[in-house]
Amino acid sequence: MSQVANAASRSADATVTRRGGIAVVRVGVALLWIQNVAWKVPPDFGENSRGGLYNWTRWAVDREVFAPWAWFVEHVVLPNFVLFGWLTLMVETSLGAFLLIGLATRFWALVGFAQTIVITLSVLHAPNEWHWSYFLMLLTHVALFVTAAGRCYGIDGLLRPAWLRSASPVARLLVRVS
Amino acid sequence: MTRSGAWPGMTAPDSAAVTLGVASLVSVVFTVTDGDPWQLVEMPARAVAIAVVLGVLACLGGLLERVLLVRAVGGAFLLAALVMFGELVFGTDWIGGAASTLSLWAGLGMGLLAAGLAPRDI
Repeated sequence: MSQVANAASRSADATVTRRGGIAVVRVGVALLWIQNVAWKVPPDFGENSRGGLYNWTRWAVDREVFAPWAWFVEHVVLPNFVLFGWLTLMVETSLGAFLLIGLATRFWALVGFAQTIVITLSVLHAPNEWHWSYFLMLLTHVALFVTAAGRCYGIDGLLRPAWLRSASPVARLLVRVS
Repeated sequence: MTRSGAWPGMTAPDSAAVTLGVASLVSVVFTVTDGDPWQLVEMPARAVAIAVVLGVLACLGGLLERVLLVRAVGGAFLLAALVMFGELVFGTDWIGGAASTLSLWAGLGMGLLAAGLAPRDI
């Protein structure tokens, strides 16, 4: 009986360690987005000074990674740059906020993956960039998605039992995105 | 009411409230950091005051199982985040933070509201 109890205790400890580790990764990725949204500064996001977000966006054209993306940036994004600056700010602010608390985490993991693709297609060939930074960002968002990281010490884990009991369309949606 | 939260002897929603309150209190350390890599959140003096007051109240709400207090603090964080957003839009300096401050407080506000609204029988 004591062997069974010991095995159960070790299994419980392993679960706490696993879940805690997943939560640490989720919070770490949230802090990545939180820190890096600070330098996306309105009102012009660096367009007038040719610095900041504008500079980093221009690399997509000046050091092309993918021709269709370079065309899109040159002909759609840069002529409407302030709009895209605000869109970037709102997306990255939301990524930080939602991943920090682990709410609708699978959805925001997908958004983070997509935003990382956008960043990678813009700056992968920029000077002094380490390509593995962007590959690792992609991989960590995959990890957040496949582990449903918000269920580990996050709001998804807190509220999911209630969502599973509810028949409302919103609850059913939240079950799928958490 | 099950007491299966991360903190011993506390329900999950109250544990969440305390954790988020502690996160707010910890965030004030960034007021002494400057630039990369350690300044994760912009934390000027007024932001520190907000973070400390709301962080303490969130912890008290969780420790004392005061659901209304937790909800109120969540709403206060969201209001602070809205003020920060207004700063970014209008270029004013009411709090003096940045989009990182906005993101942190939006997350803490949503999290505390969720903890305050969570069913107590889970």
